[in-house]
Amino acid sequence: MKLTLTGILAVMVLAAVAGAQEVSAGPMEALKGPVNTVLQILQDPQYDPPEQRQLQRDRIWDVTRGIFDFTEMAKRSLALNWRAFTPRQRKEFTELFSELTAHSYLEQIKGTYTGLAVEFLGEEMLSGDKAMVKTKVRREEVETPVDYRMLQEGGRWLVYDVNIEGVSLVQNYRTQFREILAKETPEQLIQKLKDKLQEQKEELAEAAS
Amino acid sequence: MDSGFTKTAVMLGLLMFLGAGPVPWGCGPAGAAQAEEAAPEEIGDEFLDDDLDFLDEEEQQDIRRVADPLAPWNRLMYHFNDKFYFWLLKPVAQGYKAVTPTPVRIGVKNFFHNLIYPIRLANCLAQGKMGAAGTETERFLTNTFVGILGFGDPARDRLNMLPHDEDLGQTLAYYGVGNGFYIVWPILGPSTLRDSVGFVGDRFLNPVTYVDPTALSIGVSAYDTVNDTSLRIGDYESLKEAAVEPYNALRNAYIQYRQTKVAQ
Repeated sequence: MKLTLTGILAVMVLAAVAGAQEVSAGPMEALKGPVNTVLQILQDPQYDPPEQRQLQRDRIWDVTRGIFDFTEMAKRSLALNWRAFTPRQRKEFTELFSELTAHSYLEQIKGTYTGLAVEFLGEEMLSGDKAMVKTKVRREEVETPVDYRMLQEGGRWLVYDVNIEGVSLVQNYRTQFREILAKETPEQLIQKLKDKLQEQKEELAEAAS
Repeated sequence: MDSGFTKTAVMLGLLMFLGAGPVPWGCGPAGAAQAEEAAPEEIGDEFLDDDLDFLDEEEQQDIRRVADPLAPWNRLMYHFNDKFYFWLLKPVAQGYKAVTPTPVRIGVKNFFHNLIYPIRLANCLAQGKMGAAGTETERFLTNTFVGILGFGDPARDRLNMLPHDEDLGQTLAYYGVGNGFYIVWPILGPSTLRDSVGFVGDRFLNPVTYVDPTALSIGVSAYDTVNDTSLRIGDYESLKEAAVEPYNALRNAYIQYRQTKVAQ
């Protein structure tokens, strides 16, 4: 009887542990898959021709979207100014901002070299639902530390800031937006983001032609 | 010309000189805040949320703001540096890269890094970082003798001893000296009053400073810069690409980067 009870308990504990692992893998595990997929897409020779660049960008965008919490990033980069935006402006801003950040993050880890490798160094809990995952991006033997700040939402770990060589992307955008919004309206900032994205699209198109 | 500061100011400058495009300070006047009708049926809850509970956490990091009384000069210099990078430094670095194998360029980078060991040692000691000073000394001896005059980095590759990039700017910060204000130097790039003082001080511990004649000394520094740049082509371009307000983006990146260095 005693044995059976212990057995049941043991099974229950094991099940609980297994269950917990299934529901939420750690932040680093959650990040590894998407980052590796992006690396594969980046180094896939099928995207080498310039006319394939847009397709490559779109595919990476699909992966990135699943692991970044862009609303949180947009909010944090606007900080107090978030309140000066109407809900419609917030939505539009978030959409544009996510496109811009995804693109810049990509440019950062891509550079112009092949032989790109990302090494996952470890994770560190910042609070109950926040963590930092440390990585190192290596290309041509030049190493760049890239840290991801992640938060847990509904059991999923999502990135809300990227820190490249000690420089936080969100903080960097915040100083830019703060200065713009000190002189201009939310609508004007949204227009600036549109112009910037248009500029990038034209550059891509130019490279393809 | 070259010192620990080169690893920060110049490298970061080359990395991140942002610029070109219309001068952003002539922006139009602020319009009145717009009262706009929301279309709630299409807007998710997350956009209706006014709660900014992260502000405390983020505000702490905003200490990293810096005074910029020289903004007009700085913006001018930043445009100058941008052109300097695209018209001169980048093409030269690309040409050099085309004819120099990567292992050689990495060796050269290691050599120059090893050479400024006195700067790192002095600043580790000045900050009471005895462990770091010891590691730096071991690294210097290992890389000089086993790594053949510092071209190799066996201390890192085989013994896993990592460098401690301390410089006088960081030492001053350690003793409570603030940034002062932001300043962009031609060619050398972004800096602050404190880091500029540090740069000048560190030069005395840089062997390249004592190369005679001066023209040769400058040539050696320039070569170091070109070599470093050849390993980082594309970084500056990426940063510029990502920025909405490039001048501010670079200024903030420099301040954050230095802050991280100081904290280490």
